[in-house]
Amino acid sequence: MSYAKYLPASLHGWRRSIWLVMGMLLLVTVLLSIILGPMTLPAKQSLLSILDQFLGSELSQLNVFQTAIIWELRWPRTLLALFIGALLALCGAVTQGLFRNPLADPGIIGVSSGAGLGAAIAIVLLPASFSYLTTPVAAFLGGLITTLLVYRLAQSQNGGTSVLILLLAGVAVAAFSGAIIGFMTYIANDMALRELTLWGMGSLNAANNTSIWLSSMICLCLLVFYQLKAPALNAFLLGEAEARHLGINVEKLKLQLIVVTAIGIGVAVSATGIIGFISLVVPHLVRMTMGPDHRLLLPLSALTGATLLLMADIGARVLLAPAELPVGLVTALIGAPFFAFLLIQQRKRLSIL
Amino acid sequence: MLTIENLLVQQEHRQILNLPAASLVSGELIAVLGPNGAGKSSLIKTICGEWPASTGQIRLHNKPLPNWPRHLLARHLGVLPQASQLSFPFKAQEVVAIGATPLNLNRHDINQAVQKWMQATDTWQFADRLYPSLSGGERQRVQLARVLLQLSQAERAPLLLLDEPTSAQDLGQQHLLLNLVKSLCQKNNFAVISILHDLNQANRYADKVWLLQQGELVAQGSPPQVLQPETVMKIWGYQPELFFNSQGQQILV
Repeated sequence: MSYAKYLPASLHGWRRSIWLVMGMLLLVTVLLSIILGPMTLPAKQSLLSILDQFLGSELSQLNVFQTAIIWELRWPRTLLALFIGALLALCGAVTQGLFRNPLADPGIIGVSSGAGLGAAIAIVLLPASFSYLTTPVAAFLGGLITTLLVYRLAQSQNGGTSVLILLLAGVAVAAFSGAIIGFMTYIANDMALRELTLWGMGSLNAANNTSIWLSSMICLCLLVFYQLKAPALNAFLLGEAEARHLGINVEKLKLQLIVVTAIGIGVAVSATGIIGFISLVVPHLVRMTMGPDHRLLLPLSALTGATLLLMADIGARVLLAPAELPVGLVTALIGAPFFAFLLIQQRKRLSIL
Repeated sequence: MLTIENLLVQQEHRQILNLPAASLVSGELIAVLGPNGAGKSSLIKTICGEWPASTGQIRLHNKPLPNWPRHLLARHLGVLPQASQLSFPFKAQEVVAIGATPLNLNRHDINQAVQKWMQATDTWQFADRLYPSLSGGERQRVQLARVLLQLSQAERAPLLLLDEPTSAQDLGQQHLLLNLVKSLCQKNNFAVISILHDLNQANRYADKVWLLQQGELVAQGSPPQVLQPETVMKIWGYQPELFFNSQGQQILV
């Protein structure tokens, strides 16, 4: 589609430098994530250790114990933070576009709690030996069902979605899932209980090969798929009827986006538990600086989301060291005031709806 | 180019539209007139496929509308909605560029086309302003530029549907807009169906008038023929006075 090639001339210079800046920020954050934690590692030696790992050289003078901290603990955790952060931000940006509403965040409209509910049921009721498979699938189904439900509920006569109903539906879904998750906790055995508690607070310390592979693959797929749909998403922002007149198969597009986003949220929730506000805050920040064009918004949100979640995780590790905060707590601490700020900003618009 | 046969639209057993036959040819500007609730917007919504017809058929260039491939139809049928709900902070020119979605143009051509249509609709001076910050009339003209860009690659005469295009415009802009539409009909062979409220504007710009009442086409023909004081009294319940201007065009007051 030809629209994919269009960009206002004023954006060209900006575009290159924003990628450079965000890329550098990401690299610095990754390095910080390797050296910071309950035990601080020497920066230069850690950098050399990373070089060693990729180039096969032996420059680093870290001892075996320090090398193990990097490669057993911090590196997997860093990777997971990057992929999950990108995934959450991407899904957030698309959900906001899909609902044509900048307040529609998967966490706030209840999709994350629906996915959490699915995961809880899988962890407690299904056999533990398959949990690496059943948990993401159940989380995906939970997320999918809630997205469809909320979308149907919030759809108004003129084809838009009502913010008020959206938020209320989120409250209802979250309360319902909370109750069932509570019940699951009540009847869970010790092992399942530990697992439940882990992701309930949203934490990245369960990083393992499966979760890293799964989230990286899904993240990559979503990035490509969403990018292909970006021009259609832009047209969709004009309104459903307008998008249809522009030759877009609106019903198909909506269904595809809902299913794919539910997969993304499902994978993210099953890997790390519920980490709120990344999906709300990041697309907003990007939109505020770069505008709402999805062709730019989506990849840049992914990059920013990855960086921001990693920063939050560094905070979670360092703030109360040697104890560790769940990263979900940190993102909520930053994100909740931001959401309140958005609500105040949008109050005028909300009172009309 | 457009033929409507036995069109019947019902919603919840209530008849919305009943059009046994209507048609228009390329280059023609049709003004749809009628009192509130006569089915003017419903007619637009039905022609563009937003509302399904209970029975009947609408053909564009002799091909039933559902048989058109999506992107080809998009290049030949453009709709200007009455108001748009876009609340995301796109620049005006970005909104216009979205009109290129079904087209096959390179970036340079799109940029040029955006500028051309924004100048034609008198919107180029605020191309870099954010769409939500524009006034209602400005937004409507930006949307018109978008729709005209959408129709700029039509292989056959395109059909443009306008839902009250002058409702939010000031007097000068109303005539600018109608002159633009009229010249598209005359030079680019556009067919246009436009809902209007001002009978004198219909008199001045339209080739034909479709007069709707309670979902039925009660009169069609050239504006002076249809818009007689008695007819106006019958449809709107208002008795106008008839004058003629220096060029012999009739004016209803």
